[in-house]
Amino acid sequence: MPFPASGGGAYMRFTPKIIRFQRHGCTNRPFFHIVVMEKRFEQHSQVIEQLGTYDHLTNQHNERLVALNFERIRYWLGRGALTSDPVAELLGKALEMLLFGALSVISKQDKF
Amino acid sequence: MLCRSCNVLFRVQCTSKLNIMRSTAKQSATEERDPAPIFFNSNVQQLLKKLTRVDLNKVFRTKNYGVPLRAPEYKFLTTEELDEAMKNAEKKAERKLQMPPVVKVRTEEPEVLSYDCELQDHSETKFVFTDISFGFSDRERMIVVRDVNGTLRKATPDERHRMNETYFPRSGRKLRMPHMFEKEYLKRLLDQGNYEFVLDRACLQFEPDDPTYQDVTATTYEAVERAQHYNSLRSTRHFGPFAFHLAWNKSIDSLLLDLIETDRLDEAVSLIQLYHIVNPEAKSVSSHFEPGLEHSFIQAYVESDSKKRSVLELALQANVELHKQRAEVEAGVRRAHGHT
Repeated sequence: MPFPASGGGAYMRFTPKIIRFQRHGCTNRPFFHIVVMEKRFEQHSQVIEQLGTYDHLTNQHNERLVALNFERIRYWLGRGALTSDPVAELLGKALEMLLFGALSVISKQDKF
Repeated sequence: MLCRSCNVLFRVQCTSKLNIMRSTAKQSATEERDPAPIFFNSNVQQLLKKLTRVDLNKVFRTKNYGVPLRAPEYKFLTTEELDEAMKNAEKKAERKLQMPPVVKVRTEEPEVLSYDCELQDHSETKFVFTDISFGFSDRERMIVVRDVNGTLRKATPDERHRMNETYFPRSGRKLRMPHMFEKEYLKRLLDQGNYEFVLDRACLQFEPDDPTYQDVTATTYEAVERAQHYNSLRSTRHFGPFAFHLAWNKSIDSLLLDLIETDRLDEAVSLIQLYHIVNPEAKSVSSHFEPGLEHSFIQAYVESDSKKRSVLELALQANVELHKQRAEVEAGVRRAHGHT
């Protein structure tokens, strides 16, 4: 039974986790999911959770699109998940957003 | 020597003052009034709702927007149940008739979050980051852009629209602006009288502070005004903003004429009251409405502020005569029945 791309993999308690890219798309058209998974598993094994997407190819407006679920990324970083170098680079480019995002989450909790 | 130094001093002072005056003049010219606080005022909302003239048959009619039709359901109801059902329908109609907001056109530049000169030329392309965390609306969602020169800024409204539509598509909203909002196609649609369709779709496609939205709606309102097809917008959610647009641009005369000719004096009074709230500098603001004296209230507006004075006066005169005749007939009927 195949698992959905968005996650569902088994979670083991004391093993290292990593936030990394998982290549999707097809030949000559890469598209990456940003996922959290067991560090020792190979790339296309089942993931614990999908945290975002990254479109490596530029669009017509000269942009590369990154979608990140900062709420969950903060959760997994807090649980001690590692990050692969390319993901760390991306997160670093949006560092202020990570911080500002934390503020917006606080305001959201106030709201509810 | 003294005279020359005085002269220089005078010139310096004068230029600085002149510059200040010029800048203030420029500010007042560029600073437009913000319609939002007036539009959201509860009095104004009530007046607009009154002008909308809710007709449940029209509110719940089927629109041919590509949604498959459902077969009607027939039920036997007692009188109480029927009243209950009617009340529910009225509530639902109120929700359906919620007016799209009228706000100022947006102008602000995107806020810069940080300048990171270390990241200059980090890549040949921009990076757009979208926070897809659960529970944020399209307006609240955090979307930022890392530019090629290393600055991190919030996304422009255009970028925001594209990202929201990419990651959170809404049925009916398109990534690119539909061709029907371009000038030539829009004109054709308006000539055919598809006002409501245009406005509905503009509501779905654009944010209310989008300059394109305001252009499209203003063009549509002007087309309705020119063709005097007021009934095509009545009982829809767009009549309120339409009436507000007319009052804002001081061109309520045609609508007022239509209301007087169809003998809707209460609505005519509401329209003039709306005009007074929106334009507090109008000459007839001082006149107050008292129930029963509709004609004199309208007359005060017609005399001091209207641009089509002669036509309006004629219509008003005819309406006064009509009311007089009606009163006479009523008195005659009462007399015939023996009530003196």
